[in-house]
Amino acid sequence: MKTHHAQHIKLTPFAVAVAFTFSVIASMLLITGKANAVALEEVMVRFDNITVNTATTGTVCASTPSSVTETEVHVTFPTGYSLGAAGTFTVSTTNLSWPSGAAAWPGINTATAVNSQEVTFPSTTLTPDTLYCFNWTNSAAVTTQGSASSTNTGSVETYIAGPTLQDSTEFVTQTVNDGTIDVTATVPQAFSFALSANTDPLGSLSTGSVTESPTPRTVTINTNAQFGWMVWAREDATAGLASTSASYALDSTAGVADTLSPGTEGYITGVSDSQGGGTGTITVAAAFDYDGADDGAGLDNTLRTLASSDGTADTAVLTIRNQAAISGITPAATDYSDTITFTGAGIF
Amino acid sequence: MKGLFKRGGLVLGVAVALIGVVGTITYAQNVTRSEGFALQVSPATLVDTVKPGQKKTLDLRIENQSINRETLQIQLREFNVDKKTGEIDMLDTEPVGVGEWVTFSDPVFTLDSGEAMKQEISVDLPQETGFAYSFAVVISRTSESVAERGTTLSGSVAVFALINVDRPGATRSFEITDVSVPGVLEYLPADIDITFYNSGNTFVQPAGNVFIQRGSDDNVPIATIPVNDKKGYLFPDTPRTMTASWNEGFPVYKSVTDADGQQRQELVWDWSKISDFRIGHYVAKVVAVYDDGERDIPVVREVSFWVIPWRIILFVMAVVVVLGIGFTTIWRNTHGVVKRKLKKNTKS
Repeated sequence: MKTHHAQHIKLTPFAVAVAFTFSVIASMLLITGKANAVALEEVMVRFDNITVNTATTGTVCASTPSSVTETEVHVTFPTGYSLGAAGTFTVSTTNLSWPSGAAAWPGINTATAVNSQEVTFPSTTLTPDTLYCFNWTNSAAVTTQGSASSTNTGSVETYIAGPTLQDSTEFVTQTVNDGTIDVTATVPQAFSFALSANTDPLGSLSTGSVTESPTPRTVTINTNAQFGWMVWAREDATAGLASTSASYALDSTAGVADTLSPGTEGYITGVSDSQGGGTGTITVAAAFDYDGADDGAGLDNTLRTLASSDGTADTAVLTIRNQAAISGITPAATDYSDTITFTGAGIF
Repeated sequence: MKGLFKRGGLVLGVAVALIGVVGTITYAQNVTRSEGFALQVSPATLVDTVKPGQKKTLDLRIENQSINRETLQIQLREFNVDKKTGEIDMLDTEPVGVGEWVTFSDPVFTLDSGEAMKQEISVDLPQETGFAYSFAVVISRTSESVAERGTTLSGSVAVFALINVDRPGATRSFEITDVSVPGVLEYLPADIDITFYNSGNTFVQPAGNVFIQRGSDDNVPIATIPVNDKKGYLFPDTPRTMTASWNEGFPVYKSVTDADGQQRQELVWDWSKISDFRIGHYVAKVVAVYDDGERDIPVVREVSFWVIPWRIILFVMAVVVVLGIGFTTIWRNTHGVVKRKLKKNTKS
């Protein structure tokens, strides 16, 4: 028993030494095996169309740090991309918005093999630290994958005679469901705007109360414009509720929130809103927001935003309340009048 | 046989008449004619690309939806997009120079109640032009009968026109200057605000997707949502924020319209979507794309956020605690009874 224990103690340093030696040798072998497979300095694989399930041309660029005699370049496209036969990978070295300073890839030609996702192109010696590019020019060669993803990984590798892997680097590309659209077509959207009536008689004004539209008029919007709508308002050139005969006008500061009081002159427009349906949320401009307390803001002859919405509208209604108050010294007349123009539009 | 045909013809005639009546009623229900000013225009926005020296016609359908016969005019107007807020300022002035190359087929026209017409807007750009033009066409009454007393209300409808010029030097490009989302959410939706800056000189429509995933480099996203589902445009040299909403959650806040026509957020528990329960850390990776005229250019940016349904977590914890206390109490009681019985049996 004692002897066995002694042997065990003696064997342990030996075992440790053997294990260390093996690990060193294994590491060296591993390092040797990958000694030349360093990363390419710069790699770009650019797809001309990144919409899913779309045939596309593209560009490959790379720069190597190694001073060797390259014979091939292999491009491994992301899993899920469909590749044509080797003969479909025709190439060009026309500078199609390549990165600045890029040169034509020497010896590049039509692919010689396609194995799974890996495409082999011929190449000749690359000068270290020089960015080389080529384009594959036939969209039948590559079709993007069927699902949208932000991270589709592939690689570019250079080979020397053997062929033996020389340098390698991964690239990442994307696919999207909602591809680009040219600005060439009108959008078939409709916008309808209805003003309920063209007059808003305020009747006789008195010092004892604020007079408000007896039947508030409405602006009704219906639209499928996805970004919503806006409504602006302005007065005619004569500011306020004006009397020609008295040469006088009741007015409040334009675009500034105001609350009228009986006996104090003022003339404002208040707006409240409601909506039957649609994706939009209506926002009444703060100054014009009517909360039932003789409030709103004055207008002038500049178009001012009354309300807006950020989505579609099914019977979006703006209720317009014009309100006026007079004082004891407001000149009497029967021709106090005003014209307010409302303009509506769908937003792009 | 002849009689059969006669009877058949009669039945067919009645059926056609009925369909006509029903159709008319349906149409009448869809369009509520206003006593005031009411127009529908389509499209809501005119968008096209034109070449210098090439005449192009844009069609605008205008329908009179009021009960009145209307004599209308169509005019060019200027508008500005605020570079900070994105708000549209309508101006009551004609855009400088645009009137020289934009003309209308019918500058003044009359529409009976319910009648529609096609206004042809001719765009005939001179050789020397810019790269993008924006203006509004405004349709209004030629004259308004002004009330002698009170307020006269006048309506008008604006249609925005965005014209890209296809000529050498026209560039399409944008940058993403910001992507933001609230850092911590209790429930979805997660509204991802993407701020674009149009660094080109033409109108651009961003495309692409927002990928919701656990990690930045995941190649299978949890959800894929459009970057610009509303198909909005970016103005040259102008920022614009668009929102992509991730709303596939359980429970999820949804916008509902109450009886008063006011919108509010309501938490919806759709048990068929219990698999969409969200908790933990997420990455929203934006892959926005534009076509620079030759290829898709992806612009990638990401932001991370947390979904912590803290009320559900507290509820589950409370249930666990209550159950734990309950089980402990039952165990103690049962254990005590058994112990007492055992003691009793031992004594006897």
